[in-house]
Amino acid sequence: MTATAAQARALIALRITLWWRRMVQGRQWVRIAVGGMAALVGLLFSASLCILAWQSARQLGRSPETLRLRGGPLALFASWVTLALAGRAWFGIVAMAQGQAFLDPRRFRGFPVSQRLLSALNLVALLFDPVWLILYPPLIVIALAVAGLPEAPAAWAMLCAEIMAVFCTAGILHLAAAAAALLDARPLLRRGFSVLLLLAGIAGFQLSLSVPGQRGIETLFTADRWGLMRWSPPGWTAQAAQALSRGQLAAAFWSLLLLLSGLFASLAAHALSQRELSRPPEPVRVSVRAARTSGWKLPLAPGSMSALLEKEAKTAVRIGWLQLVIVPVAYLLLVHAVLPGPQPLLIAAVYAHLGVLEISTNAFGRDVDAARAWFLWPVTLRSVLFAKNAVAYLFSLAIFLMLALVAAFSSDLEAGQLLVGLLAHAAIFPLLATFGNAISVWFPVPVRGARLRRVRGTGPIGARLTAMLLLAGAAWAPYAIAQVTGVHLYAAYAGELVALLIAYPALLGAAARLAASRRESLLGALARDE
Amino acid sequence: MTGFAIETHSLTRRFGEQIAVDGIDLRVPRGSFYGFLGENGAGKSTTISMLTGVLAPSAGGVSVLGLAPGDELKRRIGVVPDGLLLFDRLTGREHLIFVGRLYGLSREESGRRAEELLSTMELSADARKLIADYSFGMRKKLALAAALIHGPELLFLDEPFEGVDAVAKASLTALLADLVRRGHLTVFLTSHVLEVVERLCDQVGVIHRGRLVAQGTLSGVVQAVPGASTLTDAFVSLVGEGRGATRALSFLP
Repeated sequence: MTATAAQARALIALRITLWWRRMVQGRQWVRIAVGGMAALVGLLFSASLCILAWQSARQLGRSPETLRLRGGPLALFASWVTLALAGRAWFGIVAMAQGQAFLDPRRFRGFPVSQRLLSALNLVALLFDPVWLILYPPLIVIALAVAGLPEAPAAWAMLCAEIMAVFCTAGILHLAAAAAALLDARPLLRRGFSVLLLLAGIAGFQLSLSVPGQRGIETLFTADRWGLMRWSPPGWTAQAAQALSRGQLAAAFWSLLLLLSGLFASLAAHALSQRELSRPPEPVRVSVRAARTSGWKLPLAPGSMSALLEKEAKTAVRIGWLQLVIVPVAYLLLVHAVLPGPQPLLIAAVYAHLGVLEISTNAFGRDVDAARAWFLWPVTLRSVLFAKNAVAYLFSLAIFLMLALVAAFSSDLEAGQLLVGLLAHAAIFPLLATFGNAISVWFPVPVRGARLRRVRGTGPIGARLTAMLLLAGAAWAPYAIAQVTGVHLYAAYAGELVALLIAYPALLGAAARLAASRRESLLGALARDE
Repeated sequence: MTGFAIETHSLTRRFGEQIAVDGIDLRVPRGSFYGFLGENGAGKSTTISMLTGVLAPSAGGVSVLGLAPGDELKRRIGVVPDGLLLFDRLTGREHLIFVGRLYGLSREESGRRAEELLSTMELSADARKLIADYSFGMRKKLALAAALIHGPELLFLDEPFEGVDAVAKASLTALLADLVRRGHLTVFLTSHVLEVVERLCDQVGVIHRGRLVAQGTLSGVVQAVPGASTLTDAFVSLVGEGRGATRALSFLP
């Protein structure tokens, strides 16, 4: 036991040391600053959720009839906790394309370290990731706020139930992370999974719209459905809280259900990761036809540019589709449940670009050691960056068109709205390209193998947040200008597009010069271990 | 134009306080097979990086094929650095065609040369596989093929035999020897495998702690070291500085 504890301490110290060396001794001040900004935004978001939960509970406390229609305090507690945990699970799916385990079991195969210990530490680490840290305060406030309602369980009981629900969710996320690692090694399976996820997302959302006038998770917890929902994991949480509060023996039953679910998921995750450790990655073979081609020949483009575009496009296609298809599903939820408005495709314009953030903000990451070629071969950095930007844009455009299709099926989309969306999408891309080029040069992160995701991405997560704010501002600025000045909406967006297209060549040149001036640090970072 | 493919004058590179390459004067004759030797961390890769233009010298001058490092030089040299310059998500054939086209070859010519190189390197059977799935030896061969596709006048090879099995090593050695024998190509090679260097190279230079401690014909360098009869003897004598006697470890019986 002492030896295991010593190993655990050493492993945690290793990660902290590596983090410290990368961030502080590596003088990644900008990365730290961006991370600090992301933490601040997270804090504000968390505080907003707390206030929202508190105010909503107070309002319901003043309106007993509304509370009764919502299923009472127990159903309310279950639905709010479910909202928070479903949000966490959603970010968990997105993280399948972004992050990785705290301790990669493959790295420790040669050491006498128990794989169970690694799995346990990874599970514990999951409980301290930024999304959980954002959600803990609202979960506490939910318990305190609901406790103030008549006939509600005691706050301490609800907090205990929440702890068990969090453990259960973390176990499921742990299992999802293990499944993601399985997909990493099997590109074909990952593509299949991506398509399934997309279909499931769309189908699930359409299903939730099937009840006229009722949308969202809360409709599942109304009084008439509570009889059924009490047997679901959210129901177990609520009933565990009630039984605990009343000192009933049933508390043990409901708690056991939650704890065993979490435990089972964690054990399954461990078994899955052990199985994966002993399997080689699946080799990828391209089709016979693709193997025989002499390369692309694009009209008007010089041979070297066609070759660059072909290389970048094939690289992007062959790294997997997971993140690209998650975006449309998230869009469905965002537009219909949270942010409806007169120009729904403005959100789509920003959101489509978010789908290619991973390749835009880490443009050299998948070139790894081969990035040296850009300085050895007779090709300009400007051409290389342009090819990378162009491929990212085309992928983003494909996502945007998919989103437009989804919007057209879900609501009455007008041609004018589509035009505004298309203009905004094109207009803000030069900003993303420039921001992404700079981040790619400043913070290159090597991504080896078939992975879509990067292994360590703390800095670029902040970069993504900054990009999101930048793009959102650029997407809505012409709309605001048109509203204030009376300029026609199309003219405002067309003006922005023309201005940024004129600026793009100069911005591209600046990015190329930046890459040339930082080539040693760029190549050094890409040659490092992940 | 001088008779040297590579000529440097007091070439120096510092990294902060550390001097990686300390004022070396290289002379690599055209059409030669030049072996650049040194122990780990001696400054070999840093020197190649400066000769190929990836790293700017801190001081001194470089002339490669009569040119300063730059775009014109890039078109006339081929490089196989330690990192191999391979794009993992392309197939071997796609990678070769891609490189050929960056060097200005047409699609058809790139495709023809790619087929020939794959065949020569015995990689044709794996043409549909992604490079990510290649073995290390296959990657080395493919990197060499990519460095040759545009017909360079000067080839830089950084540790081409490291991690390569005996069979692959023999085929690479035979290929390189044949290329130089034809007279068009100059090869600048770094390697720890001294018996291969001895068999291939007619010129050698030895770098030790950033300084060039010997340079000339292979036989000239060996004869200049008292008591040396092979390149290995000469090398150990030049850079060993009495190392070699291993002390016993106190905690092992």
